[in-house]
Formats: sequence, C-alpha cells, structure tokens
Amino acid sequence: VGKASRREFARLGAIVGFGTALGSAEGLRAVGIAATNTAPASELAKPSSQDESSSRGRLIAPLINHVGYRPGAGKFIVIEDLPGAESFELVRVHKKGMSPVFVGKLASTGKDFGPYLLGDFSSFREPGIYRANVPVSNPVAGEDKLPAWSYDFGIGERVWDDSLHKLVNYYRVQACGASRHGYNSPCHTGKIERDDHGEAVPITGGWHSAHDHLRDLSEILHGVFGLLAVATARPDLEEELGLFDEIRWGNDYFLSLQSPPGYVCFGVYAKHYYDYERWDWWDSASYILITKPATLIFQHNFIAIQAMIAMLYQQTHPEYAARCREAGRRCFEWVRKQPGGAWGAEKLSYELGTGVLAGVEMFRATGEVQYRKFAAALANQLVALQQPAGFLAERQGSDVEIAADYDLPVVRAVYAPLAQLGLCAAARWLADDPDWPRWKASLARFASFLKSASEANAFGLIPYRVYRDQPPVKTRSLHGLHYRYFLEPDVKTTIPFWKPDSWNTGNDGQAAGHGVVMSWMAEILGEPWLAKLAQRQLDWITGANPFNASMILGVGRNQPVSYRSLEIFPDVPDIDGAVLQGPIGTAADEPLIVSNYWATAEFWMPHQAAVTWLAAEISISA
Amino acid sequence: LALQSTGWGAAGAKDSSDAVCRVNIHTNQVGYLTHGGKKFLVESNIHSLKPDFYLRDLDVVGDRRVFHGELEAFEGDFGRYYVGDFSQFTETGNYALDICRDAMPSNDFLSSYPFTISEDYRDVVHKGIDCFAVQRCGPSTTGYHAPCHLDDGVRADNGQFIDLVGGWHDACDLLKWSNATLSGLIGLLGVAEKSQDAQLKARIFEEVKWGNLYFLKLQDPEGYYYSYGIGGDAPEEGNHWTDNVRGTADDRKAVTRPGDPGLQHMFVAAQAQLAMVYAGWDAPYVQGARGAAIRCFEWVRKRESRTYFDLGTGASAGVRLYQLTGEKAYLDYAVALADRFAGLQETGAGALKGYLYANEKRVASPQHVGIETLALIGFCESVSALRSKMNVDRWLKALALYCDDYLLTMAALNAFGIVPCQVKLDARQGGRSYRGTTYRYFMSTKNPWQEGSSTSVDPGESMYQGNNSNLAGTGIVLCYAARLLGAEKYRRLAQRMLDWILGANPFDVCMMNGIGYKNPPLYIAPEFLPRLPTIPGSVMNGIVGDEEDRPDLQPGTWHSCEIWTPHLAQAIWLANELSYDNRRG
Repeated sequence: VGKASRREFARLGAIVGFGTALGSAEGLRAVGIAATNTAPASELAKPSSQDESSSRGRLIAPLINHVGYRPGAGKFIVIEDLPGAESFELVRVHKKGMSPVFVGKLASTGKDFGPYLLGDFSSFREPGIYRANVPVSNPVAGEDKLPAWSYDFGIGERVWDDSLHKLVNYYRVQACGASRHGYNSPCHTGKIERDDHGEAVPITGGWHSAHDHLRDLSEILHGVFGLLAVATARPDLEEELGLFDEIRWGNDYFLSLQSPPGYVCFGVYAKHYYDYERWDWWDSASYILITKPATLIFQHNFIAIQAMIAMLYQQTHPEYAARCREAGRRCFEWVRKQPGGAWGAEKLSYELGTGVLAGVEMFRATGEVQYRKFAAALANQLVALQQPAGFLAERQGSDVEIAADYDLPVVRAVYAPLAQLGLCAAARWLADDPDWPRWKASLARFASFLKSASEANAFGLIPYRVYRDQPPVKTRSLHGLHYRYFLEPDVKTTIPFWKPDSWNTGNDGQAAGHGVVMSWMAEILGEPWLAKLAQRQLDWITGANPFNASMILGVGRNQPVSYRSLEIFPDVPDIDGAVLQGPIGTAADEPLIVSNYWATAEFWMPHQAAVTWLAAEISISA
Repeated sequence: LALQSTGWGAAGAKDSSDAVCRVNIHTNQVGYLTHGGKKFLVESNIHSLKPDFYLRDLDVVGDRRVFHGELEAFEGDFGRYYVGDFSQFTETGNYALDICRDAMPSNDFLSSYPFTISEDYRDVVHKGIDCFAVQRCGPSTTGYHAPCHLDDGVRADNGQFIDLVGGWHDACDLLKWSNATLSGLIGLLGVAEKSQDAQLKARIFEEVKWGNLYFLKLQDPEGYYYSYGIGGDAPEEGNHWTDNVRGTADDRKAVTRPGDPGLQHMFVAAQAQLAMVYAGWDAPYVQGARGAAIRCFEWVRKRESRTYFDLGTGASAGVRLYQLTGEKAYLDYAVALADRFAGLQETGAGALKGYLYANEKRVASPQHVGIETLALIGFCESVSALRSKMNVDRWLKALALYCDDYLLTMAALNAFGIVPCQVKLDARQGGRSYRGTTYRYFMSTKNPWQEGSSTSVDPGESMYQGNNSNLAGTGIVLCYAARLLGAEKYRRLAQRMLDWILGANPFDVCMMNGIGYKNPPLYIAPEFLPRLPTIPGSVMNGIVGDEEDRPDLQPGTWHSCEIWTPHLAQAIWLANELSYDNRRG
C-alpha cells in the first residue's frame, strides 16, 4: 500500500485550476464580525491547541473494549489520571437501578503514553450488558463525585461471534475474480501479463489487498492464517461462515502461483502503481505477474498454510487436502535448498520463526521426521537470538539497515510476532523433542520481557522494536534499551517498478500478532496472565486506546474517517469488519490517528488477518 | 515464572495525557445547505498544517477536488483553531474536506468525515419528528414500551383521579413536564408552519394530536394550564412504569397548580398556531384548539407578566390569537408586551449592549438553558406577523441591536461562532468577561434560582446542563432576523449554531442520536426497566462548561447526555428554518 493518492494529490494541486480561495476573514466579514482574531495563512506553521489548560475542558472517557469480554477473559479499564479518580464500578444496563455490581480500585500504571490509571475487573464473570463508571472530582465544589461513563459493553460466552462474522465478511467483499460477494464482481478475470514473457493467462481468485487491488503474497497470503484461525477455533461457525469456501477462494489463487520448481511467485502487482491516469485498476491489463520467488518468509507461510488446510479439511475435503499437502511438500523441497535468508547469509528471526512454523505444521500434517528436524533446528537458532532482556534480536550482530526493500518494513511492522509464534509452535507441538526444555525456557524469558514491557504503558502494548544499535530516530530508552511502540516515521520502502518512498503503517497488526503469541504462550506456559494480556491487545484495537476509537468498521464506535482511494471507480466501499491499520507514531513515538491517512485509516489484509486471528483465539480463550 | 522488572516506562512520560495527539477536522457531520454558510474547523496539537484545503466530490470520477480555499488561524475563547469556509460552493452532493500536513510525507492529507451539501435538512427533521413517536406515552403503537401509563394520573393536591393519558415522555425519564414537552408541540408546529410538503404536514399533525391529547387535558376548567402535570415537584415524581390500572398504588401524581404567565402564553400561542396551521384539515379539532387558546388567554390576561419569558411569549400569544380571530384586543395585548419586552434591552453606552435583562429590575440577564429562547422567538414571530399591519421599526431596531451588538460580537470571540447562554452573571457563577461584562457560553455549575427559568433549581442546588437548546433557539431567532432585516449574515451565524450541535465542536461529537458519526454514550435513568433505548433523532443536552467556562463533555451523565424535548424541538425547528430559507434561495 504505497498509495497513489499521495502523488495524485500533489499533481492535482498543480493541474486543476481551482477557484478563488474564500478566506475566513472574508467569511467573517460576511457575517459582520471583525476578523480581529484571525491570522493570515502564513501563521499556520504552528500547531493549534498548544495551551490546553487555558482553552479546553476535560473529555473524560473510561476506556474499555467496545465489544466486550468473555466471562473468563482479562477485563481492564483505563482512564486518564484525573483528580478524584480512585475507583471504578460496573453497572448492569438492563437491570433496574444503578447499584454497582462490581467495584474496583484504580492503580497507577506505566506512563509511556502519559499518566493513566488502570482497573482490573477480570474476576467479574456475570454475563450481561454493562457500562463502567469512574467517579471523578466534581467541578462543583462540595458536590459528590461526578460519574464518567464508558460506552456499553458485553460480557458473554459468544460476545465475539458478531465481530467474527464481520471480520470474515471483509474477505468476502474483497474477493477478486468472479466471486459471489465481491463488491464489484466479477473483476480482474482477464489475462494477466507475465514479467518473464510467458503466456498471459487469467489468474483469478484471492483477495484485494486493501483499497487497491494488489494481490502480491507479501500483502494477502497472511489472510489465510486469519481464516484458518477461525476455522480451527470455531468449528461451530464453519458452515455458517462458509469458511472452507472462503479459504479456498484465497488459496486457489496462491496454488496457482506455485512454480514448477515448487516456490510461489511474488504475485500479481500493478504495472505502475502510481500511474493511475494511464491504468484502470479494474482492468486486468493493468497488472502483471511478477514471477520471481516471493521472499523466504512467505514461502514458509505458504508451506504452513498448505499443511494447516490439509489437516483441517482432511476429513471433509480429502482431495483438496491432499493437493494442499503436496503443494506444501513441493515448496518445502525448494525452500530447504535455499542458502541463507532473503537479507543475507544469516536467516533473520522472522525467517527462522516462520520456518519453524512451516516445519511443525508439515510434521503435523504428514508425520514425517524431516519436517520435525527442520523445525527443531530453526527453533534452536531462534533461541540463540534471545537477548538478556528476553526479546529476540533480528539476527546476530547489528540490525538490518533498510535502504530500499519492499518486504522487510512490512515484516518488521506487522509480521514480526511470527518469530515468537514459531517458537510457540515448536513448544506446543514438539513436546517430546529433546530441545523442548530450551524452547520453553526461552518462552519463559520472553514472557518476562512481555510483562515488563507491557507494564510500561497503560494499555499493555509491546514495543514494535527494541533496537540493538544506536537508533537513528527518537526512541524511548531506559537502562540501555532503546525502543519504540510505533514504526519510525522515516521508513522507506521500494515497491516494484518504483523508487524508494516513505511508508508507514499503524500498529494494529503487530498488537494483534503479539496477542496471538501471548494466547499461545498462556497455554504453553500455563500462565493465565498472558491470556489476559492477549485480550488487552484486542482491547487496544476495539476501543481501549487514547482515542476511544475502534479500528474495525462496524464493530465498536468512533472509527476514524476511513481512507478513500481517489484513483479507483467504482471506489472501495466501507466494508463491515474491515480492520484499519491503527494508530501510527509521532516522531516522539506518541500514538496518533489521522483520519483518512492511509497509514492509519486504510484497511489492509496484513492487519485484517492478524486481528481476525486474535479475535478467533480470544473467542475461545479462558 | 520468575518475573523481573526491567524498570521500563519511567522515561519519556508526558506530563499530562490531556495532550493526546490530535489532528481533527470538525464539521457539521450531517452536512450543509447549498446556499448556506459552510464553515469547518481544524485543530492540530502535533503537526503544523498547510493553509490549503480542498473540497472533494465523492460522487464523480476523475477530478474530484471541486473547491480550494485557505484556512485561517483563529485564536479565541476555546483556544486556537483553523477555520475554513467554502460557503461559495453551492452544488449538491456528497463531499469530504482534505487538509495537508507539513509533516506528512509526499503531500499526504487528512480528511473529514463525508457529508452532504443538500437543499434541506430533511433527514434531521424527519428523524426528529420520528423521535416524538417513540417517546409517545399512553395507548400508542409506536412508544418504546407501549401501551404505558394508561392510569395517569392522580392530583397531588387532593388525590382525585385526573385523566392525563397521552403526550410524550420528556427526556431519558418517563415524566411529562407540561412546560418542556409543550415546547415539543411548538417546535413541531414551527416546522409544519413553513412546510410545503403536505405529507410532512400530515405526519406532524398526527404527532401534534398525540401530544395535544395530553396538553388539552392539562387545561383546568378555569382556563389555566397546569404548571407541571406529570412531573415537577410532586412528592413522588412518578418516574416509573405503571400497571396501567387506575386506582392502584403506582398511579402517578400530577401537579395541577397554575403555571406562570409565560407557560400560559406558550399554551395559548401553541393552540392558536395549531388552529391556523391546520385550518381546514380537521375542523372540529381545530375549533377545539381555538377554544382552548381563548380560554387560557382570558385567564392569563388578568395576571401580571413580569419576566423576559412572560413578555416574549405573551407577545407571541397575542399575535397568534389576533391572526386567528382578527380581534383587536389580542393585538393590543401583543403590542404592549412586545414593547415591554424590547424595553428589557440594554442600549446604554456600556461596552456590550443589545442583550436583554431577565426582568424590569435590569440586574441580571436570562439564562438560556431550555425553553427560554422561546421568548425571543415569540418576539420575532410577533414582529414578523405585524410588520405588514403596523409600524414595527422600534422592534426591528431592537432586534438588529440584539443580533449585531450582542450575538455577532460574542460569536466573534470563539472559533466556533457560538453565543453565550447568559451575560451579566451573578458573582458566584464565575465566567468570562468581555470589556467588563461577564458572560458564559455554558451554564454555570453554581446557578442561583432564577424566576422564569425552565429548570427547577432550589437555591444552592447545583444544576447545569448542555447548551444545545440555547444554540438552536438562538439560531431560530437569527433566521427570523435574517428575513426581517434582510441580512444574510444572521443566517450564516444561525448555521453555525446547528453546526455545533451536529459535530463542529471541540469534541467532534454529534449530539443528535442516530445521525452523524460520533455520538457520546446516552445517559441512563436508573429508576425503571426497560431502559430508554437510544432513539434516533433524539437530541442530548450537549457540551457543558467547567468552572472557567471551558467546554467539557461528560459522557453518559445527564448534564451532557440526557435527551430532552426542548433541545429536540428547537434543533429540528432550526434545521427546518435554515432549509426553508435555503429552498427559497
């Protein structure tokens, strides 16, 4: 998602003969107001609202998950550290009276995002619809405290079911090809040119990545993980959601990208992403199949996905399961012959983790020892990257410098938790391996890191990155560790056929990915607090963030203005269940939501997949 | 697990989380009118902005940016904002506003929520009317817990049964205050009066009849209208569901004392207006309304009108009856009260003038918190009705002074263009000062009881709520002023009152439920089940002020987030006034 609109906007400003500006001073004069308080446009260089205390009162908002919680889940409330805020209470919405059914204390918490208070009502398990109240100092002296109310939320066994329906709905509406549910179906059914000058043939299926229609593996392969997580966790929803059909809709496209040697290609991409005037993005002729192998991480993910489909649908769709298992085997044979990783002779933690997952899942699907050995070897390499503070380094030595790369920024920003997930997979499924104690101990050390890191802020977030070297940008730091919660603002990426350009993305996908890891670790280590922490990652995405905003369209409240692509017509609708990318970071690493800015407010499959995966885990957790 | 803290999180903390990073565009979340004012605000406490803004057409292919303007910084009472104005653009459609940030790479931009530019506020008005149907009390088929309160009620003074079935629940409670809910009737009639849509008028007539079922019952055989009905200061207020069986313990008490003259005037004006607006629709019904108005007038004419509210509504009552009957006695009454009303105006050489005093003692100004704006609206209606029959220059001059020297002056002090709810405050109330005159945009948290106020406050009691009805009512006044004085500037300012209610406010919240993008959580009344649902079209009290009169949103509290008939009635009335003028070009 490089976003053509960036260029388009600059160009439009120069090309289009805009009308005469109507300045506010003129407007004020039109209503008879002397424009004494206005300043000329040249003074807009200063941010507004700098002196908060003199101009603006409070916006008191107890922050909770807008959807709710399962009875056994971790349940937390966050609120700004306002005068008088000491405790909170829960009131049942559909019960007469306002007598609290639960009263809890608020406690100070990590101050990385400012002074907040945290309350825990995990012990309250009674199903129902509730709202939370935090009594704060009353602006009226001598009066009782003033209640500060949250939005209503649910507690129930199936409180996440509606959200899961919507999350899966996103896939349906983004289906590419002659689908039944795509928003402009049939689409992109014509022949797709190949960059190796092979015969152009139709390449249909898969899902549009975002507001654009790209279908490269880097962006959409991850989507299958989300659906597989739902299918695995919630077999009761299989038929209702048509999960096999949806998984197959995506996976048939990925299978079609597998080359004779076994690797999967990079995928279908725009011929010139920024030249929307020349290309019609609904026309198949605007796209090209890039036939080079996808980055190693995605080869690993392809293998894991094929193995997981094979296992999940062995009974109900044996022929398709066999086909997937074979595809996984062929890709694995290609992968095992590749020396090193995509970014050097040494495989990065992300490559190791996804490799472990691929090996584990193939072992589970086939029972063949070669896969187990492969996974165990990579798991041990992964453990070797663990630092004294508990986090995994990217590689031995210094971090990789990203000068101009398409995949690594996305991997770091969104897929990084797959490294730990690989280790979890080894610890979960290879329990009789002689190295299993090492993996479990490593996860225990990582759990210690998660605890410390999550307590540094009120929302339980984990840093996106801990720097090994002197960081190039402003970071938070303590005891020699430098870290950021959000992507550096000056990251550049290189999309195919274009020069390096600035790129950013929100933290929803990474928070969700961490949540999935926490959920697995809770089970592996027998530590329920990790399941609670996993819930908090979903809380961040659906309302418990400084903006009181849910980042899933149609789920929760106060979503930011979603990005609209200007270069596509018919353009992309707001899709129920679409996951926006989430808050980005300022230079000082403070969270920021910018309405309509693609890095914050565009939906995108990497985030969609991770959040769907976490929601599926949470829907059965505890 | 042996968990060891690494001491994270101690560094880099901000001093206050009040400084949550914000880059927001505040618009009317519903939209704007083709020929109306179109302003929006931008705030950024993190990034600098480029001055350009663009209006983007969401309905067309290709060149979608259809207007370019420049933001201007505005430093005022609520802080620093950037203000944009695209009033010159008049095409209907669906749009968004785009703003550039200096700090964003490659000219990326942020956008407002989509909004419409339309000929009218049809959706706002229709949703608002439908809200009344959900609030119906009695044997309706539309009330949210119908049939209900079929056993209303029992006189609080003598315990006798009195049939008060019908009407509308007033707020998030189940009460039917005779003054506040009567403002609903007046608002609906205000919409109907200017409507050329027979279907809409018929729909309103149906709703008006439902409300009036109750209001007519609140008229005593002696002619006066009861002070509170089901509500007010009854020993047991009756905020509960009942068994619908008369004579049982849960029957609700009714306060049947005579209301103040201002309330009588409201009743007279409403019944007379109903009879005029629906003349020829249902002759027996209209005749009944006319008779009710005359009987009430005969009672109130013998009482002394003293307050701002008594006088303004009295002028309206007299004029409405004069229009209905042609009898000069009503005209004389109206003229006398209108003159006295205009006489409340501060015209002196002080720094701020044009505002009105609460009574002829000329000490304090009225506090606009609910139905008080009906006094000024009534005055405007009177001027409008009489200007073709007599010389009304003195009143027009007063109105111009009020709008120019008071409203426009005060609106220029803040970026949002809203106006105070009160000037000349009691010293205890705290507030702002403009050249020696104190004022507040929002009700003080320390409100002394004031004669004629629509809120029941005991001395020393803390009572404050949002400012939506003040803004909506003032907007209606400005629409009248625009027509009477031929000045578009007033209508432009009226638009900004509606903009605030529908989203152009510091918290980016739309205070009409079921419309716009961000509604705060509704207040829950604790006393009864089933709870009040969130009714589309209902209007919440609005943003309140802290001790220093800074805007303060209190989610879920009754102060900010209880729905109330006066806000609803005047909000849809204002939306219709603006629509009416817009359609006329």
